[in-house]
Formats: sequence, C-alpha cells, structure tokens
Amino acid sequence: MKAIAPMVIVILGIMVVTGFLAMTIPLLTMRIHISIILNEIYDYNTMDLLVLSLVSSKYDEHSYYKYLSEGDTQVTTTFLQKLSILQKNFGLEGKYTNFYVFIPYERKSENLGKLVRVLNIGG
Amino acid sequence: MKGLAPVIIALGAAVIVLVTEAFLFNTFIEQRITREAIARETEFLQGVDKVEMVKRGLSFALYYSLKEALRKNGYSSVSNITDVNSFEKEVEAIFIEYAEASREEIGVTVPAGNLSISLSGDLAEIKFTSSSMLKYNSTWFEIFDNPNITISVKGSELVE
Repeated sequence: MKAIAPMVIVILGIMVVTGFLAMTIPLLTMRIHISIILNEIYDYNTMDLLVLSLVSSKYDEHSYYKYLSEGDTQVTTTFLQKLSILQKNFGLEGKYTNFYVFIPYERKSENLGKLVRVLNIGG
Repeated sequence: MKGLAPVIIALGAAVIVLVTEAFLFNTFIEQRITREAIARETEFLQGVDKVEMVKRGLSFALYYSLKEALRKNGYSSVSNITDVNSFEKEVEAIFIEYAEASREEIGVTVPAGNLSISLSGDLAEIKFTSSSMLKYNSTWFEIFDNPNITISVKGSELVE
C-alpha cells in the first residue's frame, strides 16, 4: 500500500497538470489568435474608412474622388501623401486597401472596357 | 506490487493520451468556430465598405454619363441641349452601363430608376430616383442603402 500511494499521487498530479493545461492552453491560444485576427479586421476597416473620408474631402474645387477616377497623377500623389500621414496617426503604416472608382466613360477602353477601376491604395 | 506498476503506468499513459486528444479536439473545434465568425465579420465589413464606395461614386457615374452624352451629341455645355427628353434617355442608357459595372465588378446592385434633367441656362440639375434600394448581396446577409442622388452641372463641369 505504501508503494502505491506515491504512484497514485504522481498519476493524480499528472492528471491535474495535463487537465489544467488542456483547459488553459486552448483558451490562451484562442485569445491570441482572436486578438491578432480582430486587429487585422480593425486595421482593414479603419484603412477603408480613412480612404473613404479622404476621398470625399476636397482638393481645390473638387473632391479627391474626381481626381482619382480621372487618373490625375499629381493630385493622386498629394492624396497618397495625406493618406500616409493619416496612416501614421492611426498606426496603419504599410497597410493597403482596394478602392473601387467609377471612371470617365471615355477612359473605358484604357481600362479593358470596364467602367470600374480597382485602386490599390496605401503603403 | 511489482505487477501493479505497469498497470498504473499504462493507466497514466492512457489518461495523458485522452487529455491530449481532448485538448487537440477542443482547439480544433474552437479555431474553426472562430475562423468562421471572423470570416463572416470580415465579409460584412467588406460589404458595408463596398456599398459606401458605390454611394460616393454614384454622383460621379451620373456626371460621367452626362458628360459622355454631351460628347456624343457634340455639345460643349448643357446649355446646348435642345431636346431634353431624348438627351435624358441617352444619359440614362449610359448610366445603366455604370450600374451594370457596379453589379459585376463591385457586387453592389444599383436599382432601376428614373432619371430626370432640368435645365436653367448653363446650369443643369440631374436627378436619379428609385423606389428600390441599392443592394449588396451575400449568401447570409443583405445591405441596403438609398440610391437617390442629385447633381448639378455648370456648363460641362460638375458642381461639388
């Protein structure tokens, strides 16, 4: 009996430890996993919202949307510079998003016959 | 006593194996549930953002439709328009192409509606109204928004 007691204690100890690990490790990994992905979703959505708000703001008399859709290189550069400052403020450096713009009809042929252009904005 | 030791060791090993299996199974199921929830959340946010992109771009689609109709008719300004009714129809036909592009390229459906143009000298007011809603369709949700827009064009330039 005396020899069995330590063994039982050891087995019970192993069961308690593995049981504890079995319950806590998945929760811990899940928590890390969720926080990483939620952070990515948050960044993605914030990036979209930044672009959407900046696109609607004005440059001279028109909104940036017009210049982006018409492919004005100079204004697009200014737009990207402004966006880059916003990205820095929101900790979104290096992030990109797709922005869909309707392009002028006469530019349809330059865009493979499509009236929507997908702009990969950010950096 | 010596005979009991292997039994106890085997029992301990079985317990460890079972607990490890439970751990792996638990992790697998929870990860799958979380991935599914996150994928749905991402898809929903993408839908909302796409609808917003189309909403902001719709006035430009309308303006570009008008501009194309002006170009086709050889007009330099809206003040050159003589037959408003037939011009409206031309603009509408081009605008439908933009609506089609929105559905195909972005996945946002612009509903059929009524396009009207009112002229006052070199100023034109173009209205697009529909009783239906702008719609983004997914397998498990739908997003609706108001598609009605009004733009003003002076000469051939959009007044923003």
